[in-house]
Order: sequence, then C-alpha cells, then structure tokens
Amino acid sequence: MLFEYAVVAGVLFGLFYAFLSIGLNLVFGVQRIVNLAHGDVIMIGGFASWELYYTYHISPLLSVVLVIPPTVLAGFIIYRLIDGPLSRAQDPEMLSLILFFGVSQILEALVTIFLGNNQRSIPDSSLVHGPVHFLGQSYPGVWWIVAGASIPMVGLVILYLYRTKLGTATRAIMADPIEAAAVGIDVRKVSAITFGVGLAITASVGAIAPFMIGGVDPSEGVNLTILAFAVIVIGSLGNIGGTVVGGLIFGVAFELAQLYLPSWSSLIPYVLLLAVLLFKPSGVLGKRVRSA
Amino acid sequence: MSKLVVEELSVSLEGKRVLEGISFEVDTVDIVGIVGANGAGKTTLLNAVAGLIQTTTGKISLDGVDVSQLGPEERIRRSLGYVPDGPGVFRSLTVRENLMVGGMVRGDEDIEMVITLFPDLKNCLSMLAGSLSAYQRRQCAFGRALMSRPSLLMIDELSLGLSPISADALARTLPDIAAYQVGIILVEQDIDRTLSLVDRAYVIEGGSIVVDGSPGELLSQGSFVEKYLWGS
Repeated sequence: MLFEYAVVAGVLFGLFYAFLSIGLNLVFGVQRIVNLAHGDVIMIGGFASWELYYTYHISPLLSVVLVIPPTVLAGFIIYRLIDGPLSRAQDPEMLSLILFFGVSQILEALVTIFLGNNQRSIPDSSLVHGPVHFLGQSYPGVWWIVAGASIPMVGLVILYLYRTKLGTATRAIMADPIEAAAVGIDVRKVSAITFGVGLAITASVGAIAPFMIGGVDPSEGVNLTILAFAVIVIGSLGNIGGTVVGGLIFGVAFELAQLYLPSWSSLIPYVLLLAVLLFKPSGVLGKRVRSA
Repeated sequence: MSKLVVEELSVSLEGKRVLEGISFEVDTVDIVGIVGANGAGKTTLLNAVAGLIQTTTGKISLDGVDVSQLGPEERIRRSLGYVPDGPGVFRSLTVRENLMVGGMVRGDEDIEMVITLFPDLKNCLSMLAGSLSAYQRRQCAFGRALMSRPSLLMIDELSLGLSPISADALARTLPDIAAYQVGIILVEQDIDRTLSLVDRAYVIEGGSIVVDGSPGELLSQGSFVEKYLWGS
C-alpha cells in the first residue's frame, strides 16, 4: 500500500515538477540561455502570491495567472539588455551562465533586503479544505489542486508550441537558429517572446510552489534551479515534451526513495542527473547528444 | 535592372579575409553557377548575400535596393530564398511544418507549388523531416525555401549527401523552378555537373572570382579545362 501511495504522490509531484521546469527548458531551447536564476524567479512568484493572498485575499490559484503579464514584460526588458552581449559572445552558453548567476544573487539579495530572510507559507486552506482519498489512501488536498493546475499550464505551453504559428517558429529556432534566420524568421523577436513566456510560466508555478515545497524563502532559488535542471536533463534538454516525462520520472523516483531510503532521498536529483549524463546524455527522450 | 547585384563584396571572418572584391549579377530566370574548391569561400558568399554574416565592405542590392544593412528576415521578405548547406530542414518538425515555416515570411501556407515540383513530398507531409531519406530531405529543403515565393533562389550544394542518381533527379527540377520566374544561384564543388546546368558560371578561388562566362566560353578556354576539369 505504501508503494502505491508513493507512486501516486510521485505522479502528483511529477506534474508539478514538469510545470516547475518547463520554463527553464523553453529559455534554454531557444537561445541556449542557461538561466541560473530560474529558481529565483519561482521564489519571486511565491512571494508575489504570498503578498497577494495576505494583502488582497487573492487565491494563489488566481495568482498563477496574475503574475504572468508583469513577468512577460520583465522578460522582454531583460532580453533586450542581454541580447546584444549574448549574440556577440563566442560562447553564449557560458556567458549566460555567468550573467544569470549574477541575476540570481541580486534577486536573492534584493528580496532578503526588502522582505527579510524568513520562510513564509500560505495556509493550505487557501486552496482546499481537508485531504483527498484515492484508492484507499489519504493525500493532502493541495497536492491534487497543484497537480491539477499544472496539467493545463503545461498543456498550454505545449499547445502554444505545437498548434500556433509562433510556436512552430519557436520550435524551428530550437532546431536550428541559423537556418531559422535563413527562412526569414525574425529570430530576435521570437526569442524575446519565448524568453518572456519562459520566465512568466516560471513565476506562475512559483505562485503555487509554496504548497509543495513547504513555503517560500529568499534562498530557495538555488535548490529549485538544480531540481529543474535535473528534470529537463532527464527528459532531454530542448525537448519540451521530454520535460513532462522528466518530471514524472523524477517525482516517482523521489517519492520511492523517500519511502525506502529516506535519508538518501535528497540526493535523488544529483544521482538521476549523473546517471542520465553518464548513460544517456541526450536525455530519456533525446535522440541527439548536444554538441556543447 | 538585375534582381541581385553584388559589388566589390569583401568579408572577413575572425580577422581573416575570406572574400575579396566579389562582383556579380543575377537576373530572374538566370541559372548562375558559383564553383570552386572546398574552402574557396562559396558558402561564405551565400551567407553574406543572405545577411547571415556581416560583410566588411561592398554593396548588395535586391531589385535596385541596397540591402547591405538589412537583417536576413528583411532580405528573405524581399523575395530571396536560401537552401543552406546544413540540414536545410528542421529535423524535429514535420515536413508540413517545415513548409509552413518557410511560408511564414509571406504569411501564406499554400503548399501547392511545392507539391507540384516535388510530388514525393505529398505522402510524407506529416513525417518528421529528420526521418526522411537524404533525397526527400533535400526536396523538403528546396520546398521550404520556395514557400516564400522567392524570385531568386540560392542553393548551396545541390548534391549534398545525395547519390549521383538522386542528384541528377534533383538537378532536373531546376528548369521547372526557373519556369516560375525564379533566378537560381547554384553553388557547387562539382564543376562538371554545374556547367551542364547553368547559363553562366563564376569560378571562385581564394575568395575572389578568377574567371567567369557561359559554359561554352569556359570550356573553350584551354587553361580553364586544364586547371578545373582535368584534375577532377
């Protein structure tokens, strides 16, 4: 019975992890930007959600949508600032790594200065009252709400990529940015939009992440970034569908480890990351090994 | 007025001069060959005309408008088509999506012309371009470039990765493409094949055009035949 519990919990968390990581993969896929501030964007989404809940009594589920427009705007502005240096760089991946490491540090410091260093949480009762019973087991209701919210959000990103013209252009750039320019796609414009969308979906998951990770605090960014990297590397870097597979594998593996090897479970992201990099560097769904 | 006019074009890549003082003209319905050995600068020349790399000096005009300072998307919009020497297709997209992306700049998804020219593609529209045979992939690459309805099509290595039979079959579509009022610039290493296809050829060596003329003129020059054909 415990095994079933771990698998169901793993799937619920897996859907959340897919939502948590998809923005990182989108941003990486298009411009090879390694966004080390990914977890900090989630953290800011979390604080926004906390603030909106306590000041304006806005449900965190609504905040999932509310944080999107300002983050898209912020994404455009950031993209304009970094686009020049990145397109001139000989090794844009490395430059983006350093740039966003700096952004990560700045965001963490700013939030600490203005909001203090304490962990904050939003009560589960803001989303749901009581547990959910499923197959004879009882689960926290928020897990189901968050997983349920993750499905349409991830689904929207996938629909956008596979069913809209802009999404098709985005995937063309992911496949080969130079050839995309050679067929007349405005690579800069589409990349800026994708960067904005990627950041927005990341802030968006932040609004409900506190229910799954126990709260929000200014220093949580690094761990969330590592977690998201593990998920997208497992699934396949640059493959958006792979993020869902990666999230589910990660979620179930983590819950099973918590059941059978609890003291080792926090190693799971690193172990899975290393295992994938050693044995299937292109990720579970990947066909080609990345050149870099 | 010629469709494309390139005047005194020079390009440096990483501090090294790759092209020097290149001038040529192409009109619609012309099929022009640019031939030369590996590393002569042929691909660089096409990339410069497409706006994918910066030129050092010189001027590129399309329909009499100087496009030297414009980005690639603006040049494609001004009816320039490019089949690059890379994959030429987006492997992770279906054939239909590849064609759609090619047509985006014009805002048109009408694939009829492409299917007329390359009927083989009709049956693999929903296949991923990465899963096609080399020949179909090259057809898809041509189709993708033609979707923007260019009046000038630049082709980097027609025979890239193809067997001689497939390369010949693809070469036979060139006059059909030209019949749509499309000028063609064909870049090739295979000088023999190119001379059988083009109206005029430019031979590029060490980043400069060393000789040009119609196939008949070139073949009547003993020094040209000796230097470029006997060795191959």
